[in-house]
Order: sequence, then C-alpha cells, then structure tokens
Amino acid sequence: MNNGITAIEYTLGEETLSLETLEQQGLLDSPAEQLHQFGFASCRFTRRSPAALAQECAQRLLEEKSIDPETIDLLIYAGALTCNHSISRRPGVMANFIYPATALHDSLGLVNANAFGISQTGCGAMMTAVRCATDFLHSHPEAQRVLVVGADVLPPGSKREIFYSLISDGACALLVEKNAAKNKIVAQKQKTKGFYWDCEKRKFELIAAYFPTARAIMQELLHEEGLHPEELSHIVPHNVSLRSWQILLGLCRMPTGLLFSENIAPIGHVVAADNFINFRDLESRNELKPDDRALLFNFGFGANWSCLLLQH
Amino acid sequence: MKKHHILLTGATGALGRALIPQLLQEPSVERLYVLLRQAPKENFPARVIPVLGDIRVPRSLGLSALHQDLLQKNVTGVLHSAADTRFDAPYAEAYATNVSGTENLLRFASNCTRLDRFVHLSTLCATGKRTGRLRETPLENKHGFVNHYEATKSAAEFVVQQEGARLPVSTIRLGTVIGRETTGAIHQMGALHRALRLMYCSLVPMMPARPHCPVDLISVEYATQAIVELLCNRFSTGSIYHLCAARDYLPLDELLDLAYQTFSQNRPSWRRRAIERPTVVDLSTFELFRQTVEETGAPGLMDSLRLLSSFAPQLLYPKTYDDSQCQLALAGSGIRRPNLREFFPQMVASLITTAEAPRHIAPTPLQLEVA
Repeated sequence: MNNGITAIEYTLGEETLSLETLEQQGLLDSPAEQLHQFGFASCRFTRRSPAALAQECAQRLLEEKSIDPETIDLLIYAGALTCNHSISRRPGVMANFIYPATALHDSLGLVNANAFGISQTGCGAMMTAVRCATDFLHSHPEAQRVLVVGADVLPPGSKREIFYSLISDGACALLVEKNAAKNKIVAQKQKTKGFYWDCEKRKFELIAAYFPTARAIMQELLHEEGLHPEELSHIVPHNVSLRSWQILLGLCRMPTGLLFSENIAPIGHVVAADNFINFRDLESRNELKPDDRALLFNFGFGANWSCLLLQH
Repeated sequence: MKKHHILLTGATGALGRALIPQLLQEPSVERLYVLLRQAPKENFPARVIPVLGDIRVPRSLGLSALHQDLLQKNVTGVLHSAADTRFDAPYAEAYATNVSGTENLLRFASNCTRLDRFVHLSTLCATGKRTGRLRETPLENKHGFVNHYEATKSAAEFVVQQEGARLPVSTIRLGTVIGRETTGAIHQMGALHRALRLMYCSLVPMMPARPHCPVDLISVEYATQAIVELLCNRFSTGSIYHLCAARDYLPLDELLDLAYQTFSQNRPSWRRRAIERPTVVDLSTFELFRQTVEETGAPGLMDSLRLLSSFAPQLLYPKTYDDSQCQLALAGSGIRRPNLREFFPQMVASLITTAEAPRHIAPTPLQLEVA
C-alpha cells in the first residue's frame, strides 16, 4: 500500500526569545547557562491561538500541494496540552465541547472527512496521529489521504521550561497518503507505560525509565525490520535537549553523526511537532537521498514512547 | 586437640556478626575475644570475652592495660575482619581503618607471645582494575582502583606482606557476601543490595559495565564456615586464598535477568510496571548522564547514581578468580561453594519483601484521584 508522508508544513510562534531574555522575564526554572549547556539558545513565542497556528499551516499545506480539501478522508487534530483541545473561553460546561478539530474541518472545507482529536499522549500526539492515520488507510480501502494537524501553545504567562526542555509554540500539518512516492512509512512502534502516568510524582523514575525504554523501542523496531543502526541515514529527534540525545545515542551505541540536531538550539522543543518539523527541514535542505532511511523518535508524558521509520 | 584463643576484630560488622556463632561451633575455639569500639548492648556466651578498643589507635589499640596484658598473654590466633567497607568512604577514613588499622593490629599481634596464626580477611575488590584470570598470589599495585575501598584493602594486603613477614599470616580474599543460602536472608545491606532495590524502584536507567562481566558472589554460610575452617583446622602460614564463587560466577547479564525475573515472579504488581532493565553502557555515557543529573538536581536519581558510581565501574574490568588453593585447603571438610543460581534469586526475593522505597520516591501505587 506504501503509505507515506507526502507533505509537511509548519508554523512557529512569531517572536524569538533568547534564553537570557526568558531568564530576565522569570520564564525559566533553570539558569540560562545550564540550558545553553543542554543545547538550547532560544524559543518561539506566539500571542495567537493554537487553532490559528494550525489553520495557517494546514491551509498552506493544502494550497502549496494543490490538494482539494474535499479529497481529504480524515482530519486528526493532535496536541499535547489538553487545554488546547477546547477553543472557547466562554463559561459553562458547553464550552468544553467546542473543539478545534471540527472548527478546522469547517474552516478548511474538509466536507468529506471525519475529524477527531488526540490529546492524551503528550508530546507523542502527532506520532500517535500518524499511526492512527496509517491504520485508517489500511482499514478503509476507499480512503486515500489523511490530514494530521498538531498545534501546541503554552498558556499565557507559563514558564518556557518543562523538565529541563525549552518549549516553543508552534503547529505542524502533514499529509499521510496511500501509494506515496516518497517518505514511505516503513514501520511504527509505540510503548505506553501507565506506571508513570503521574509525571510529577514519578518524575525521578520517569527520567530513569526514559533512556532504557527509548533504547528498547528503537532497537526493537530496527530488529523487527532487520536493520542495523548504520543502515540509517538520519535520526530525527524530538528536541528535548541535545544533552539527552548524546546520552541516548551512547546508550544505543549509535553514532552521534546520524542525529539531525540543528533545530534544537534555535527553536527548542515544539511539543508534539518536533520530529516532523525537523524532517521537513532535513528534506528541504536536500539532505535526504532516495531510499534513505530516517528514524524518528519521540517521548510524551503519559507515558508514551514512539518511533517511526521513514524511507525517503 | 589444639585449643585456640581467638581475637576477632570487626565483630559488629556484617561478616563479623556471623563469624561469632560459627567460631563458637568450632570445638577447638576455647576463648573468643571480640574487639568492640563500644560497650556491648547484648550479652555474649561465656566463651566470648568482649574487650573495648579500636584498631585505629596505634600500639595499644585503645585497650585498657589489663586487656592488653590479657590478650598478649593468651591470644593464639587473630581473625582480622574489621574494615571500612563503604565504597564511597573518604580516603582518609578508609585508610585509617583498612591500612593503619591493619598495621596497628599486626604490631600488636607481634607482642602476643602465644600467637601461632593471623588471618587477614581481604576482598576480591583489592585486585582493583586487573582483568583476566587472577590467581591466589600477592598483589602488585599497578593497575589502579575504582574506589578507596579497593585501594585501601589492596594497601592493607601490602602491609600484611611487609609487616607480617615475621608473623604466621594468611590472607583470605572474599567474594561479595550477599546473604544466607538457606533462607535468602540478608545479613547487611551492601551496595549490591541497594542497587537492586533501586532497580526494583525504577531508578537505575544505566550502569557502566561490560554485559558479560563476571560477578562473584558467595553466601554467609560458605564464607563463615570456610573462614573458621581455614583459621582453626587448616591454617597455613603465607597462604593466600580466594574464597569466592570462582568459576561458578554469574555474568552480569544473567544476574540482571535473574533479578528481574525474581521481581516479576514475586510481585505481580511490579510486572505491570514494565520497568526496563538498566542498560549497560560505557563509562563516558554514564558519566555524562550522572553529570546531567547532578546539574539538574534530581535528588532521587542522584542517590542512585552516586551509589552506582561508587562500585559499578569495576564491572568494566572483567575478571575471574582462581580458587584452587582454597579448594585444596578445604578438601574433605564438606564445605562447598553454594549454587549461586539458586540462592541469588532467594536473596532478591528476600530483598524486595523487606525493602522500603528509597528516599524521594512516591509510594506505590499512586492513587487515581484528582489532587
């Protein structure tokens, strides 16, 4: 069937804030110097809503790829922050039912698509959405394409650091299609470990579990595909910190040269969208050759570990 | 039958406590003097005579004049079990007990007029960063160590070789004594026990080691029976013994498998947590993680990593121990190495039954309630 990711667009917050500025504004938990050492330099901040960012990048994707909105079979709206899954600020219970997924469905004119949201797999939301999209295309012979849109904006006044990661506001849209000519989805894997569901109370255990579980899921996926790490062209990270990737690659005995880390310093962690923003930049810089294999890895609170193998 | 009057140091330590009943079971032990730093709280059997002192005190060992006289006139054998066994002890403290203390004791023993045996309990750790198959021979101090315990126990062996040249001295290098083979009961929590407990609590993401590195563990019963036998009935001046698992060691991979199987079998609720085994990594990866945790100040993990740092790097230097001299000396005694694959899981089961959660860790299970 050759499902693949045929198009990616993203939108970042319009303001760039340096670590020093964030520190002066009291928006960090750790000293700026420490976050520099972890590989960060600045983040992107928006005054717009996540739904507006999502609308902008999804619209651009459809226009630039000349996709007729009526040919979209499914819209999946993904985000890590549950507060972003209601777009109303009105009081009352009814406001909880005002969803960005259907608002986007309406504004983009996706008249033939179903729509739903994914909101409880943390930063793994877009990975989960791609998995759902692939499963949907497998199980619906008539369906051809799924639009996945992820958007996360921290609530106003929030600190910009979570668990030693510098957070950017942003959105990303991607198209999962059947019979894709490029970026074929070769394999996907996810692990959920409910023991760590309370990420505040289990934070030390979670830090400890993160690394061996990440290693396990990546190695299992490669093993199942009969691949060795040296057969990968790139590792496309989530941008939680360069330091954590140096440790993880050491654990996996993978060469650090495989890591596409250029976006970690300038934009930090764009919550659920990192992997696809990075993959898009890798592609647009012509750093991918035909048949190159890229491994995307991601972790989300909850706790969920995800990885995805794409063949260009 | 020759009757022994034994002076035991380290009587309140992990091994010393278990040696007392074993020595009292030995018919040839007529008197047992136990050197204590503080007045005992419990009563000892009639054959046991507690004496207050401290091996760190030069010449007198801090003994009263009466006790000095008593010991120097009566003691026929010394069993030197006292040691600072902390892997993270400051060097000066470890040196004071392990090296200076041994030196002081040897000098004191040289004035014991009836002395015919002195057994120095050392450790396989004294072999430091050596690799390969190690024989029961004197150590050469040129390979380096991963902690002060190893360094000072090695230095103590050197002192025994030098200072003890004029004395009837024997050295026994012990494997890690982890618990009772009959019940799995743990005589004292050591670094290995604490590390296993942290693994159980999902606080050990990685350890610096080689996957198949041999881990040499023995039981309390094997250690105490063999020590008393080698001291009382099979003493041989100048001998060096490896009292250890030798070829029956557990490779690290297998040890971790056995531990995690035991966690899972004994605690079904633990199995549901799906806690990964720690990843075996090189030292630079481990150090980078440790540095990161130190920088971020995660206390629960810092405790774990400091513990691991104190001993796990030894697992980067794989070695096995030849114990043929020890086995030859024990031949016919009926004392045998226990089956490590049987008693290690028993010990792990005992550990998780009695273990409390480490500091900073939320008790399990967390309640599904909105705070």
